[in-house]
Amino acid sequence: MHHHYIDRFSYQDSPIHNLDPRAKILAVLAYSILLISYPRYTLPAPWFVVFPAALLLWGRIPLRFVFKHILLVSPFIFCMVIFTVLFDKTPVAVGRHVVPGGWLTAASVLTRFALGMGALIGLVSTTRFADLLKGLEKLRVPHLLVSQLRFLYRYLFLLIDQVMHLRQARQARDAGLGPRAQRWRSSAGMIGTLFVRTLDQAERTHLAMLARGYDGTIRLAHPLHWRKADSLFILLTLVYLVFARWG
Amino acid sequence: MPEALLQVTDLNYVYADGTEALRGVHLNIARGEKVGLIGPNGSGKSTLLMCLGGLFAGHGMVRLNGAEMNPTRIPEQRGSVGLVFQSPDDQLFMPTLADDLAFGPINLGLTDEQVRDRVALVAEQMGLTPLLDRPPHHLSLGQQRSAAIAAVLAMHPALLLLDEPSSNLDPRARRQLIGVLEPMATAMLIAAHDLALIGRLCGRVLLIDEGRIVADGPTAEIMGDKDLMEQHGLESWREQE
Repeated sequence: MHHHYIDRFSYQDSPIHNLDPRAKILAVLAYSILLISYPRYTLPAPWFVVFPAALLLWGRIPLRFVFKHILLVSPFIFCMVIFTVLFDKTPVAVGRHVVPGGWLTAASVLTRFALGMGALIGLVSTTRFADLLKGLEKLRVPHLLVSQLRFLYRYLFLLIDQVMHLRQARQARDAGLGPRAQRWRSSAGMIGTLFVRTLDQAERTHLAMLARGYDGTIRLAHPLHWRKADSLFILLTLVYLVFARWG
Repeated sequence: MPEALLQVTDLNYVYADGTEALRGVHLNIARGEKVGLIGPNGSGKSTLLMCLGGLFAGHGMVRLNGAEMNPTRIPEQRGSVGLVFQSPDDQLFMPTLADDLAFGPINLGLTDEQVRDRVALVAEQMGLTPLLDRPPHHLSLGQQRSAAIAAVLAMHPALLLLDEPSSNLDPRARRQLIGVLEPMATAMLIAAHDLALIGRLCGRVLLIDEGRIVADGPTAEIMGDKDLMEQHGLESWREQE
C-alpha cells in the first residue's frame, strides 16, 4: 500500500538538511522555550516568524504541506482556546482599548502553536527520522523513549496497512444494508484482531532481535559529525532568539 | 563423509499448550552443505529452525562445530547460527537499512570500523549499497528479503537457517534470490514449500511430518517419490513444476 511518510521531504538536499540533527534539535528546543516564555496575554514578537520560515524555505519544504499539517493538528488547540474565550473575561488594556483576556490568550496560543508547529515541521521534514533519533540519543534523551519512537516509526505503517486490509475485507462483504449495531460490533472485532496481531508482531520482532544478539540494549553505530557550520548555526540562532525575545 | 557442522540428536519441543511440535529429531549438516526442509503446514519446520537458532529451548542435543549449544551461552552462540525469518517485517526492525545491517555485528562486540566494513561488504554482496540510507518500509519485498538475509550474513554465521525465503516473491525477485543463495559457501537449512527452489539449491532434503524426520536423502530421490510425498501432504517435485 502507498502512504505519505512523515519524513517524505527529509531525503532532499539543502543547507538545512545537511546540518547535524543535534544542532537542529537544540535550536528548535531553544526557540520553543522562548516562544512559550511569553505571558498569556502577550503575542510573540513578529521576529519569531523568521526562524521557522528560514528552516522551511531554505529546506525547500512546500508551504502547502506545512499549512496542511498545521491544520491537521489544529482541532486540539481550537478546543482548548474556545474554553479560554468562554471563561476568561478578565478585562485587559490593549493600547486605548479594553478587551476580554480570553480573546488575547486565544490569539497568543494560536500564534505560538502555528509558529511552534512550523519550526517542528521544519525540523522533522529536513532531518531523516533515523538521524533525528540518533541526535536525540546523543543528547541523552532516555534510551527507552528513543527506542519506542524507533519502533513506532518502523511499525506504524505496517499497522496502518493492517487496518486498511481489515477495512477492505469488511467492505468486501458489506452491502450497507445490515443494522448499524452490526457495523459497530465488527469495528470492535477489528480492533481486537488488530490488538492480537500487534502482540504477535511484537513477539516475532523480539525473537528476530534475540536471534541477532539483542541483550536488552540497542546499540548503534553513530556516524553523526558535528562541523563548524553546525556551531555557527547554533550561535546565529541563539543571537537571533535573544534579539527576537528581548531586543 | 564430510565433517559435520551441525549434529542434532533426539530433539524434542513441546509448546506451552501441550502441542508436541518436535518428536525425537535427528539430523546432521556438513560444512557448506545446503539442505532442504520440506513438510506440510504445522509439521514442525519453523519450530525446528527456532530451536536450532537458540530461540526455543528444546530438549535433546544440538552440537555446532562440535560444541554443544549450551542454554547459558546461547546469546554468544547466536552469532554462529543465522536465522532468516519468513517475513522481512519481523526481521528488519531498525529505522534504516544501514542500522539494521549493523545491528548484529555491533551486538557481537565488533569495533566501529569492523562494523562499517561488514555492513559495506554485505551490502555490496547483496546489491544493497544504494539503499543503505532507506527505511525498510521504503524497499520492495524482494529488496527487503535480500536485506533480511544480508542482516544475518553480516554476522558471518557458520549456518544459515531460512524460513520460506521465496514466499510472496515475484518470479524475478525469486530468481535474484536463487542467484544470491546458490554461490554461497555457507551451510544452509532451507525450510520451504517451494520445491523448485529446494531442487535448484539443495542436494539433500529432509522431509518432516508431525515433528519427526520421516525421510532424509538426495533431493531428486525424495521429492520425486510421488507416493512418499502424497503420503505426507505434498506433491512430487515434477508435478508441482
